[in-house]
Amino acid sequence: MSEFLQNAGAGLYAPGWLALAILCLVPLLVRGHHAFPYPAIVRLPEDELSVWLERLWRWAGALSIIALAIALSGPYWGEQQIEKVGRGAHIMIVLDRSASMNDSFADTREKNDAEPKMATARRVLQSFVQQSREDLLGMVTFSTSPILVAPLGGDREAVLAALRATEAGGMGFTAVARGLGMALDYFEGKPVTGARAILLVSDGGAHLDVKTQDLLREMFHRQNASLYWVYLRSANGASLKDAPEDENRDAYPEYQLHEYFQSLGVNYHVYEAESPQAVEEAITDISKLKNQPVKYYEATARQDLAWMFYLIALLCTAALFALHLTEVKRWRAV
Amino acid sequence: MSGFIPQEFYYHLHWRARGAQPGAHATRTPGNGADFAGHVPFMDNPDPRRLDLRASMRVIPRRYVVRSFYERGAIVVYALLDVSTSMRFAGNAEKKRLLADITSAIAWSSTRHGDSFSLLACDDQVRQDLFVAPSHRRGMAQDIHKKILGAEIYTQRGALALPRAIEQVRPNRSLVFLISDFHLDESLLSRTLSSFSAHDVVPLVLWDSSEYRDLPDWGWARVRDLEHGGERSLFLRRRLKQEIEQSYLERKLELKTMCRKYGARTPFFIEDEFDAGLLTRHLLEAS
Repeated sequence: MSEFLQNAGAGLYAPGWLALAILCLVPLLVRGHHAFPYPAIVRLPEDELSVWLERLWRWAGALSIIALAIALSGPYWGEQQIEKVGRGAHIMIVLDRSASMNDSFADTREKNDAEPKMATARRVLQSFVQQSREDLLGMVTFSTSPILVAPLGGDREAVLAALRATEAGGMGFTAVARGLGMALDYFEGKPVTGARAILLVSDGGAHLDVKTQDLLREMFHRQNASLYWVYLRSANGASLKDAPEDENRDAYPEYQLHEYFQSLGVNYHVYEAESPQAVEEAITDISKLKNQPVKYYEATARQDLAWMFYLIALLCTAALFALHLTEVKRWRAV
Repeated sequence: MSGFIPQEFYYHLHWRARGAQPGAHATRTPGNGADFAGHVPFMDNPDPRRLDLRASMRVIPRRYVVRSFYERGAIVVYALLDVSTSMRFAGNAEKKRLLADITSAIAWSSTRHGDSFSLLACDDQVRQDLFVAPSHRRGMAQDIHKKILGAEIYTQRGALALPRAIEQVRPNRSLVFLISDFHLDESLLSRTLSSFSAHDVVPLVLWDSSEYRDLPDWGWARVRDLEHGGERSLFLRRRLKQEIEQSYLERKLELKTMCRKYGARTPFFIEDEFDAGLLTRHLLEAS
């Protein structure tokens, strides 16, 4: 029985209250209640119904006390450690919404159907969100300052809605560091049940001062998150592949950012996309990369059983009250 | 206490008493009463006033015979009270008050008849504090009424001493009123009745109407036994009320059978109120 209870994950929240169950002896043993004096009960017939009513009265009292004691001690069942294999990852999408995102790609051979980078990113991200079944997704957009649009969770609709909302067009500057910081914040306090990844979609870099660099590095290490950067290269943007001259370093913040990310010490991939096709390829790549299975234990929510015992106590007390109402108050014919 | 006059009833004996005390009852003592006993030779009772000439002519051999008579005599009337704890019961009437009323009525009636009265009371012991020796002094009825009302009925007492009360009764046949609720064991009752079988026992049964007839119509009640402390749960309803009444009816028949078996008179049942007229009828007619 106890083994079965253990398997079912039954238990008590505060077993100390069970000591009160000893009070159930009171209604069973105490004989202090009111009784009419009678000269000789030998003359009275022994009535089956009355005898059972007396027993019901005593046991209902005892049962209600026991049920209350158990209910106070907070019984539950069904708490189990379930081994789960997580295939999905926790992905925070950090989307750049700066004004430059409205430009078209570097590799634009046909100018007439040039698609803004934002539109491409949106389309591809939408399909990515719809395909990923087991992932937890969240999204932060940033321009001058970061905006949380969807916290990390299984709610795909929220992310899709957030993506649709980006149709409004970008504005402002590129504050990469604050966007990353906010995205990393959302891993804080969450159980590590899957690979953590930050998907940074942006078209340019920004200078990060040393303090911010250290802060971000520390956060990346603490959250143990990988970083995937989809770099949407603008028509006039620099490629990350060929390192610029030493004297021109400050003119290429993208490359500096790339170098900084490489120095982070976490899993880092960069996808330089010059066309919508390249973005799609990059995203497909990412969706494969992040699918490393993770084993983890999860406690299923336990079910509180106290209400059941409170119900029993209530029913017993109702029975007692009903019996009390039927009690004869005066030993007289009405 | 001068103003209080107990109820008076009349009783009659079916037997001849023995005793020298002059009184109202027929006795076996020859004397100057009005009860004709028979003819005796003149020389046995030389009283010329009782000479019966016609009878003298009929006897052979011829001689004078005189009529002889029995004396009218007095007896001792005993009231034997059961003061067990169950007599503390007070339903529609208080049993102790009823006890006092009845006992003082017996004392009053017996002294008015010229008989002596004596009081015996028993719980598990014979209650010496309630004992009153045979006497026919005036004012005794009022004294006894007061005495019984002031007496204490102890808790947790049966009536085991009832058979032993015979030790305080004179050997001459007497009239004994046994006043109790008769909620006694069969063995105790039979021992009591058999120990008093030499006497003329009149059982007076005190039952309260709230014991068996005047019950609540419906509802759950618990009752506690006054004497033994047991408890019983009763869910009163029509069927159970009928059963209780039936059980008391059966007890009534049982008591009557038992009293007949031990030569006592038919029990007289008193419910809530003592009516001396009914007792007179019972004593003069029914038994």
